[in-house]
Amino acid sequence: MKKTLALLLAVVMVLSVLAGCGPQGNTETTSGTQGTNPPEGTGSSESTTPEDPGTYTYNTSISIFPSNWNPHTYTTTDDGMPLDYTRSALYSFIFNDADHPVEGKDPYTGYVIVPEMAAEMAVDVTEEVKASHPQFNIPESATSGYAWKVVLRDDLKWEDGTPITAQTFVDSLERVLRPELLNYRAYDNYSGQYAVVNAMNYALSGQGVFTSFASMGTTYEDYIAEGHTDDEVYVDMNGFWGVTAADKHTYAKITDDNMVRDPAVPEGENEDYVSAKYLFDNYLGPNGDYAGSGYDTKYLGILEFPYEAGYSFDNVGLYAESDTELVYVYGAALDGFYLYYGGLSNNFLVKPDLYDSCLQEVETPAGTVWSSTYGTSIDTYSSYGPYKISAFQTDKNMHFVKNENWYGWTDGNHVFVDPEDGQTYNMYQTTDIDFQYVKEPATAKQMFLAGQLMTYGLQAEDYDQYRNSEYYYVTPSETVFGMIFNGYESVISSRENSADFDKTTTDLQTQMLQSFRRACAVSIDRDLFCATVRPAYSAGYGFLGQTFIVDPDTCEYYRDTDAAKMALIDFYSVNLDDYNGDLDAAVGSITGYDPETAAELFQQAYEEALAAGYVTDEDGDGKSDQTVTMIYAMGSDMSTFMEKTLKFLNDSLNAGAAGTGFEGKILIDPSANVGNDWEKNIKNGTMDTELCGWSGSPLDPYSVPQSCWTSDTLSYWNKWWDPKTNELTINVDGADITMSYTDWAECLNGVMKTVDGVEYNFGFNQAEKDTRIEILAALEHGIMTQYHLVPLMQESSGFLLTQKAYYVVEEYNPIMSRGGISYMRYNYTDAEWDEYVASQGGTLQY
Amino acid sequence: MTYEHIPAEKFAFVQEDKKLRDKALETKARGFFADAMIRFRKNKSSVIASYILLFLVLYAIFVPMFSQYKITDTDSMYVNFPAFVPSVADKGWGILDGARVMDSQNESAMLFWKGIATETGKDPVIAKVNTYATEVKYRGKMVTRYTYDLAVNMYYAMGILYRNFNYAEFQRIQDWQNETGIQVIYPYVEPDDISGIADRPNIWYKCDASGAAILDENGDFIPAYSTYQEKAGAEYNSIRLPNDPGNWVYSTAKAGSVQCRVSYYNYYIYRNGHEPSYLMGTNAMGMDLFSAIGVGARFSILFAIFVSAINLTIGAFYGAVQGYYGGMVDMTLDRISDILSGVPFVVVTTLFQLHLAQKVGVVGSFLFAFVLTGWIGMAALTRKQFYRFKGQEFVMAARTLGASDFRLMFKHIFPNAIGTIITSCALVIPGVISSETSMTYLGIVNLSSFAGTTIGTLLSQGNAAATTAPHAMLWPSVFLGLLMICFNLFGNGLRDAFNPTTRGVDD
Amino acid sequence: MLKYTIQRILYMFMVFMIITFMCFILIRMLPPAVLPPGDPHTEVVMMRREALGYNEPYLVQFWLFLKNIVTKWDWGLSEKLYYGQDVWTVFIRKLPPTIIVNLYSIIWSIPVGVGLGIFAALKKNTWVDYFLSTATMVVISVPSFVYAFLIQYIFCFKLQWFPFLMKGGTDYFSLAMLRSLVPPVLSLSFGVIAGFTRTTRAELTEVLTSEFMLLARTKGLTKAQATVRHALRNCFVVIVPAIFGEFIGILGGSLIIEGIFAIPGVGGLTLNAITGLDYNIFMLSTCFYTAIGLAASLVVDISYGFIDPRIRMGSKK
Repeated sequence: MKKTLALLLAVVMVLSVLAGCGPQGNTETTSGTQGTNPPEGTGSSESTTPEDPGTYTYNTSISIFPSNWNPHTYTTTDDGMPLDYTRSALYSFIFNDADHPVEGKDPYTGYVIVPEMAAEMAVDVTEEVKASHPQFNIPESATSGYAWKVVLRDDLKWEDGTPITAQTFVDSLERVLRPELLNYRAYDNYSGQYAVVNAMNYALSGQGVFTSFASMGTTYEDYIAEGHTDDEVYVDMNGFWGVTAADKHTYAKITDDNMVRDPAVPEGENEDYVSAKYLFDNYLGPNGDYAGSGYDTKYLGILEFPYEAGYSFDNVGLYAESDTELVYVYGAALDGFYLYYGGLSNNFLVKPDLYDSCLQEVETPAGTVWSSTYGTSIDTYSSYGPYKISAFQTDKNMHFVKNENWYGWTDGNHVFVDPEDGQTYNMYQTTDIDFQYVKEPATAKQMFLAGQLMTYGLQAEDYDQYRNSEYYYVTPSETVFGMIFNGYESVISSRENSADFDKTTTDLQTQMLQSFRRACAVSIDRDLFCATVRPAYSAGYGFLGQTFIVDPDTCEYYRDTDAAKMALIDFYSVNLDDYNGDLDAAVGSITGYDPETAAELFQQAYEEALAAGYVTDEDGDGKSDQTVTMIYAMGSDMSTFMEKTLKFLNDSLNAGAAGTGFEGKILIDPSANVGNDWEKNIKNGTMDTELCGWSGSPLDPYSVPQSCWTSDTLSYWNKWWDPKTNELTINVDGADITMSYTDWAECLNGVMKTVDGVEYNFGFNQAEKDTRIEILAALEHGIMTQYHLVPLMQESSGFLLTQKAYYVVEEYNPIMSRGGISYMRYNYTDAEWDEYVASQGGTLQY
Repeated sequence: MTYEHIPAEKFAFVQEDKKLRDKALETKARGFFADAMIRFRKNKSSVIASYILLFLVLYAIFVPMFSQYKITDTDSMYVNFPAFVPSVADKGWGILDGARVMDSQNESAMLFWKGIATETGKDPVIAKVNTYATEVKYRGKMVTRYTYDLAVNMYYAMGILYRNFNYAEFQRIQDWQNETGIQVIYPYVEPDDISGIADRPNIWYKCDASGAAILDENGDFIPAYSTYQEKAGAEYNSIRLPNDPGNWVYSTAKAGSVQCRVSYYNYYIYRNGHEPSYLMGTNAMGMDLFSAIGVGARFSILFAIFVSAINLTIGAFYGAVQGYYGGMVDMTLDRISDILSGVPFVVVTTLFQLHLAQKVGVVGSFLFAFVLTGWIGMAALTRKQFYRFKGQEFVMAARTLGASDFRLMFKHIFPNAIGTIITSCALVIPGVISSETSMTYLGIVNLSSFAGTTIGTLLSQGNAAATTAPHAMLWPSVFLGLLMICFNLFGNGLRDAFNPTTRGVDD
Repeated sequence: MLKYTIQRILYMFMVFMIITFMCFILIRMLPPAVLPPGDPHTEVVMMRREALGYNEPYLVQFWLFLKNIVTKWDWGLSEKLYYGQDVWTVFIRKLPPTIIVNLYSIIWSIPVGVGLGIFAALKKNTWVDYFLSTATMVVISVPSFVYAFLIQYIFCFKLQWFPFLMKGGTDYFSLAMLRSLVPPVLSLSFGVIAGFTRTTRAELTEVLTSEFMLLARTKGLTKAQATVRHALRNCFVVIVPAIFGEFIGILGGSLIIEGIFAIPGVGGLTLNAITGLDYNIFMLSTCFYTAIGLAASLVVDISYGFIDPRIRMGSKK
């Protein structure tokens, strides 16, 4: 149980960090909660099986209970779970079947995009909108892709029967973006290449943007010399010192001498209260400790207000032409798959009157802040999807029943053709969905075997037993787990200098050596690591996991592209000639575990460390006197899983260092439980290492670099390795282009960048697919070669599926998964099932 | 009958010439403790309990000392494995054979086990416990499924694993093979030859994508061993499988290392120099439960004794002062203990862990948490006893004779209370152990980095896999149960011995 | 007596305040939870922190904390688990299940435990007594999660007599609910029953050997009459207070039981608050458990006062 917890915790953290990373919450598209709409004239919309009067309940368990599923604010997928069943999308993804054939694909191996809440496919209205709505600034040259008209069905309703019109969409977008609400999901809707035009101006209206002197290419002295005053200079309090002050709690004028309590320093000790002026005088200013270190220009800068306050929502690119006609205007051209996957899939619909009644205005000394209770109980939420919540008890259970006001039950469009018997069946055979909170996996297992749950996620000890079962399924995942290594040199050095440990036996600084971190990376046998701590996982080698897809039409995996293979081959220093240029063989030979190289690198690191004075060898035995210590930031209590992990890592590193100067002198030392602060500690360099996971939007790998390298809050290493200033040269179509990592990431996502006078845009539809893949691979390789994080495991999970039901399609499809609940068929009704379970003596054989 | 008229001459002096003296006692004088010992010995259950207790303590001391497994000897693969002693297992008595009953084993699983048996020569299947024929709808159609409950030897069932070795290690294993004749390295199988399955090293035969074996017309496996000489990782010049036509490849080249399929059982022998042998099986960390319990108990008992000794001392003084003086003193002291006892233990432990653990260590702060409130019970008990005895005549008598308060408290009243106090002290020990267990189970404290492991840690680790590996919870529970019962009985015996008037009463 | 009672209540309140104060300071001394950036609740929580004087001396903070409770019954916002939600609302929603489970266990454990205790005492030094004493000891020795797991495995999985989890909903007195509560109640009561058996047996054996029992027998009462009329009444001096004492113990035990049987109670909440470092919830739980504990000991004291004036607290001699 503890194992799962630790991992779950890690995953949740990741998801909370990275789920927002993907341009959109894309759970809709993969969980298959949408219905289908067969092309006109197939005439087979009548279901051929008579309606079964029995109920079909989908019973399942969760170990983390949703507490807030407000589509505008939820942060984790656990919280967002109820949304999967209670929302519909404008367009949905369904399997290709006999009614929806896709050329060149066997049934149930591809996907088809069909209108869902929309009545028909979107129509490009770029030319019309360009003429009629100049406020959207559609480029003169553009003729298509910017504006799309969606005609909605005229029978859309909330669960209580009130109609949903085009205006509801507009009102909902206004609410998610409304600046004073500061909705967590607003970011999804105003950033990236799928953003509606001007949404950012509205969402951020009146907000200040901090520009550091470094990014302005100047310094404090130069800035003042230009005739500016201290009054215009701001200190990034949070960035530099981790405290929040006035002005959005982050940036403070240096003339401001309000003292801010630093919660990290115990009351009464030095620096328990700091002000911007104090930081400036002592650290960042011309007389401070960090003058000229680079930190001074990074954390000093100016605050600008580029987003005009009181910006009108009328300028945001979504408007209703009539009750059923909705026009989306994007900031960049979109088309095809990504229009439907990224653009029109935005699912921000809320019931406006209910939403407003859930808003609470809280008066605080510093102004008004808003919070919302929307989506925290049955009364504060309204469904517009196939199911609605009928019972909800916090941390106990949640029950869904059919939403009778959902158009899909009767429109005859939500059907599929079974690949085995060729008959047409209704989607959503499930009539009830029941979620139970079950804490202990042992309980969940017993309940599953007693027929009370539909799935059971296998624990490590179950694999031997159930792997041969025909009810065993594997679901791959985009999450990669790996180790973070501390690269924050200034912090490590200051920790070493202010050390309260015995410096003759302990050393922190050696880990700053890249050779040392590389040695660590190749000392870990990833296969063995998985077998030891997480049998379901497989070894992970790349920054991007196995399931990212570069081409949705062909379902081509990123990892299967030549560029991605080359990135790994280069990174793991595989000699391609040994494999006669066979990329697959070369990639197949990678284990990430290279004991020979590890020993060489450790010895090299040892010599470098000796030379730099990090370690000593007083007794001249060729071994370091100090133990290189890395503090492992514990995000939970010590568990069996963590103990195994730490033991394994320590054993591996020391085995790798056998015969070198660091033999037996490497220690990964667990910290006390710091809870979620592990993240803060890692980012601030006060702790050194962590096993953590990261993921992203599986169908849009290009968005991963953008979310990780353009946002300081999302990345672990931005404080010590600034992607805005670190540059990377990539050879694109024969020309070497040098840009910072941030610029590359943005450019890959449709932002125009100018290098040496040439404009580049590698966004979707702007550059060739292969070019984009090459850039992505180069970025991946670039970040991995810093050895700040070392990929170790590829997540995947095995589960048993009940005998009560089955998925129409057994093979996992990267876009459609297994079709989710819409493609689930039942062998037994609830009553028949109970009878069957009883006839088996109450315990089932799987 | 009366004796009024006994004649005087009937009387004679017993002795006239000797001085009358007390005779020296022929038996040896018995002190308080010796007396108690005698009474204690008469109490059979307590004597038995004390012997068991002694045995448990000796177990805790010596088992970890002499076991071939240290607490740090954890095997990453033999995790939560049942009890197994090879020599006993061979006898087929149904004990110590590493067996776990696996249900839901279908035909393809049976073939899978058979594959392991065929390749390694060690049959994991011990017995077919049950056979089920189930009529069930599968994908909408009625089918008949046959499943079995199998008793499987987990150690043999592990079969073959993939391992990456550096070249030197690969050669060392070959040398060892040549020397001992035990085969560790088995021929390699290319995943492409077994339907691309790369994560199931036990498959060495043709199979479909789900890993189900495809048999030839005789019902035999079709070997899929690699014959791609060009992919070999390093030269192999050691034992080959008996039916090896000579061109099977025993390793594959990986970047910087050699990957091969190893028989984990034999690899274990290679690494440890002996066969796996676990009297009580292994736990979730892959420790030998037999010695882990000893290590855990050592800490638990020491910690508990330490805690109760401190608590006894503080509590006895505190309670004595309270009970003896009464009034304002009692009132004031009682307020203090009330306040302390009012703080829930979970809260105390948590706060101490959060505040103190970094300064004085986990054990230190845990100890503080126990001591902070632990003595209160002892104090209350002493106080109660003092109230009971302080008004009694013998105390009054002593007081009249001018005995000082201190003398009255510790010479006259305290010995009367000692029986009760000793009993409760013996009861505090199990109490501490079970609190420690709960706190460890709840994850509020973790002592294993300090103590190697504790009984509580073992229990909570066992609990996580209780359905598949009940032994991992059973043995620590049994040990803990025995320990506590014996402490209790032992305590009762002591109390009866010290304080015979309250025999049979346990409060 | 009334004066004594009022004294005790006032005094308990004082103790409660002191404990609250101590815990408050210890909790506030911990670094405050890190808040997710860009969430509106973060603003709210930050503002609340400012209003609660996180930068002020602890005494001022405590004063503000009390003031909010007294004037607005405001226990703060959850900063981790139920982000931005009112702690009291969260807590009170979870209180009924905990209370109900504990109540049920107590209600049936008392007669069973006391009954077994009497039985053992009457059959003193026979195999019945030995068996019961040993069983009691075993039950007390083994941590509750071990047999909670066993109960679930045997009664819910193997025999299928009861559902695995507590039934959802708030119909705490319906039959279905009662049935679903049997396993957790059973798991909780094992320890309680054992405790009662032990206490009752101990007291009763002591009482049975005292002189007034001999007197009762000599004046012609049967053994049963003497036991019921004299011995039992006397041993209730100890047992009645023990009942309240057990109530606290059982609340502690339910921390574990609640997780296993999915009881959405305050035990699990407390535990999550501890591991999740949600300090406001933790503070409220601390106050709750402290209050329950003190209330119980208050009742114990007062009942002692009523039942046996000889051991009234604080009396001289």
